[in-house]
Amino acid sequence: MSLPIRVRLTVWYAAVLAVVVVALGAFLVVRLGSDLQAAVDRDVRQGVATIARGYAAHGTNEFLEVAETALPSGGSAAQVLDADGRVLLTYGDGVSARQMVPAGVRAGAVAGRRQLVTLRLGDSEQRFRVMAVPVRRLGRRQVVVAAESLAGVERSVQRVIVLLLFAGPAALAATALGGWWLARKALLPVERMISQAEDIGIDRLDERIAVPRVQDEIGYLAVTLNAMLDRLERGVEDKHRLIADASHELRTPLAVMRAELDVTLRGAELAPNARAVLESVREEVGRMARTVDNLLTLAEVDEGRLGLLPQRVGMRDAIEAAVRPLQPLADAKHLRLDVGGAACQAQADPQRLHQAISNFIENAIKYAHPDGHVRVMSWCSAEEVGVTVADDGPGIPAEACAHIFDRFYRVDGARGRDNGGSGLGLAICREIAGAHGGRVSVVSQEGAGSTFTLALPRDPPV
Amino acid sequence: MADEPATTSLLLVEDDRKLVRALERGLAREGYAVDVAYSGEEALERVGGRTYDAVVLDVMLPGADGFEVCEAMRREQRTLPVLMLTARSEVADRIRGLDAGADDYLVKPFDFGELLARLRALGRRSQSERAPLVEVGELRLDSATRTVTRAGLQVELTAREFEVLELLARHDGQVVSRRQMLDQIWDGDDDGSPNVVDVYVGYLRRKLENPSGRQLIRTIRGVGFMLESE
Repeated sequence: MSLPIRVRLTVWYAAVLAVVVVALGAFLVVRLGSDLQAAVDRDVRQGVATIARGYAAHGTNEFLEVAETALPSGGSAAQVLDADGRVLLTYGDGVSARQMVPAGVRAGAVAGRRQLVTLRLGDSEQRFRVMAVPVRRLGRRQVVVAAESLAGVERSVQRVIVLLLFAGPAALAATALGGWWLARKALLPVERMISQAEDIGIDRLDERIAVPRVQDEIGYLAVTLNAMLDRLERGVEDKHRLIADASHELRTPLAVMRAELDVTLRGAELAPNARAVLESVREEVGRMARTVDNLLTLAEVDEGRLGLLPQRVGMRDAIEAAVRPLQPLADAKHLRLDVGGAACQAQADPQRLHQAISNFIENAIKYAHPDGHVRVMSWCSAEEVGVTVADDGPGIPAEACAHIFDRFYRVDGARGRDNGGSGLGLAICREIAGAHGGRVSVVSQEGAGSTFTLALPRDPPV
Repeated sequence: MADEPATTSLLLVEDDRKLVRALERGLAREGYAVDVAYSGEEALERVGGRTYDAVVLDVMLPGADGFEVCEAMRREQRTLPVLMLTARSEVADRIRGLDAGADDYLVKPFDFGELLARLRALGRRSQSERAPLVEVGELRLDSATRTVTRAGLQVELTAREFEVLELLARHDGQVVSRRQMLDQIWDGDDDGSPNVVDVYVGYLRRKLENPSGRQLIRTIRGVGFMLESE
């Protein structure tokens, strides 16, 4: 069920109310009908008895006089029948001109049974309550019949039904609207909380939901949500601290190793095989440092706080600074690592730019053919400043190009784990470019190598 | 003054003894005269005792941390170039370093060659900071006569405006944080709200209005300002 609570509440409310209104209306109509008919019955019963008494005692004149007083003036009738059903006397409504009761009822009356029945009389088939009673007049058995129309009763009942048909739905609509409004009013704080909660991102965990003044369930919900945010914030802070500590704990020993190796390798006093070993170790230290950088960058990206501290950076210098530490990696694979291009200026965070270019170059070295060639070029156009890194490796299948910058994505075959790829480097390049308002792209031809491009806007929106 | 001093005196402030040993060895071989301090307090003592050409300062130190030490040094010697070393690369930490008045920032682990390059750059900059003439693009500042010309045309600036522009020009291509400006131009007056910096940058922008409509002074959101050369 995906309807909003407000709609569901209103629908339920209206449905229950409709059932109640219909039941109440039906009861009212039935009850009114039967009450009104009971009054008619009472008139007919008393009327017929009075008329019969008067007629039996005094005859024709009395019949008319009594009938006039005993029966209501409109819609009523009386008659006197002989035992065979011939009409002897009539009073009131035209229906009395013909025998008003069926033969069975008349016979029953002659035999002494008083019956009150509902009959349709006259040309208009109007419903009447009719009663026949036996009477003896001048030694002959006769029957006095009195009838009263139910038209008044029916009219009243119909009016009430019409009234209910109009008033019922109107009342229903009014109450449904009221219900809607009430539900809305009750749920408004919830909606406010939803929009506030939506605004609280992982980078804005210090914000809280406004707690409504009223201490009801919704107020309690806000308090509960805020308590949850407290725990979340603490958790994220712990994670921050852990990452910061880890970065310190991992980078400090790497820094010592790196400094010792760099300084030692700058000296001339090393035996060739010792130099080879130390250079290999330095490569691994460099790789580890880059992995630590990438993991920490990824953590920052995930927490939405990949910040930048931009300054003017010479693209050529940035490339050379990135190539320098990777040169031994290229040498080990007998690769030619060429640097070229225009001396362009970029507005960039030098550290992040260095990281992105390093990832590109490391990636290219990884996949270039042994004895192959990697070219790193800086360039600038009217809108962009960028770096292009081209290798002559196996290339990337077209369907993989679309995913090559996805996190943990690896192309099967040559671009596998045996090359030591974590699937993070290129994803981080994309994040860094994105943070600068720039872009990354790749052009590749299978068997002919790949060309990766990082482009930053010349006029960054900082 | 000679173009390149024969030996450059350097104070290395770092508590990791193994790192100190390696750096000391390497720097000495490159011709630096290296003094070592293992804590912030020791560093401040040494800086008070003699003049160094540059300081290499670790952030994580026992006692007073690198930021505090840097601030204290800045109060003593305004022009002493400071290169900070840190194991943290987060922007917040780097801005903290800028605010403390560090001239440059190197994240551990670093390439030793990179450290040497940065130290050389610092040396060049501290020389140029003493130079009376600063040129950035079409701008020409003369701190001796306190005059500014733009493409040869004189620009009238008040003393404060000149100081703000000079600070930005001497950090050409680098972000200068509001805190840094307050500390160096308003002498770190506690009542100087960072807004005052924006006000003066606003004055400068109006006076230096560029015919091409391009802002000479770029705002780096959340950090500070940077002078554009083109």
